[in-house]
Amino acid sequence: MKNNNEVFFESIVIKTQKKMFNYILRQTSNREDTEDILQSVYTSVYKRIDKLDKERIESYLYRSAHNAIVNYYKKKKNNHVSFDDKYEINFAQPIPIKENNNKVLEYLDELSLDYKHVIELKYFQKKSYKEISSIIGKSTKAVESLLIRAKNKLRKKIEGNKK
Amino acid sequence: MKCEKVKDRLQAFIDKETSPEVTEEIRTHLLDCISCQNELRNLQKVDEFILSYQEEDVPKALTEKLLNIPYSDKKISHFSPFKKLSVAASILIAFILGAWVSSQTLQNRNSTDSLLSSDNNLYSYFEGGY
Repeated sequence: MKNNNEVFFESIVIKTQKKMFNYILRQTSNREDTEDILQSVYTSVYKRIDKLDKERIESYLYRSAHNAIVNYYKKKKNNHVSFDDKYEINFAQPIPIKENNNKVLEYLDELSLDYKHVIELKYFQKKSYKEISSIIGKSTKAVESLLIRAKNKLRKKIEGNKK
Repeated sequence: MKCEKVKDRLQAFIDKETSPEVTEEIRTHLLDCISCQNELRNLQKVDEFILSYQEEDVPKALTEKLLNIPYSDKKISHFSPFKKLSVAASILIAFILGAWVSSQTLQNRNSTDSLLSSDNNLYSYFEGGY
């Protein structure tokens, strides 16, 4: 018979695993490493489950995941992680989700962690400049500048591949 | 507003982060400036590309691993209350059974003894033999 913590933990996993999985995947572009990081994040949640504010579990998850991603990059020699999946796009057919995602992940993988993080917060977490500036500890002007530079890099990659 | 300044703020304009006054200035500028219109379109294309990412489902095996986290740390020697109860019940049953068997054995021996005492040959046989 499951105790209260186990039941609560199960409900957190079911509710948040998909968004956490994708949050980590978009910033690592590596599915295997994403699985490892995700497991470590939820393990850390379970170990602290008695001490955590149950209303703010998601905040803890994101913070924990972000820290894990930062550590992940520190362990790598440089910010560029070799992309794990190769894909070939057949333009005669509709592109399946995973193939298109692979393309996005590959391009995002070209960015430094700082750029990936603001892209993630702006486009996928739908944060405002003010919220992003509060999260990353920089001014809104700096956030705007980071976004411009990140997108310019992506644009060069996209335009370069079209030639 | 000059093109250089407009292009600098186009990202914020797309993100609806510009003040009402700046928004209006940029809108007015865009009406007549092809170069800035192109720049706007290029930035929007990058947005479309980023947003073409669709959330993937978590692999089932990974979900199972995550749900198993509370149980993966438990040591084998830790018994759940149900297991403890089962073990205690088993011991009790074994004890009762053992007591019953013992009492049966004792009864049999008593009846054998009385049998033997009435039959000296048998009794002497055992004492003398085995």
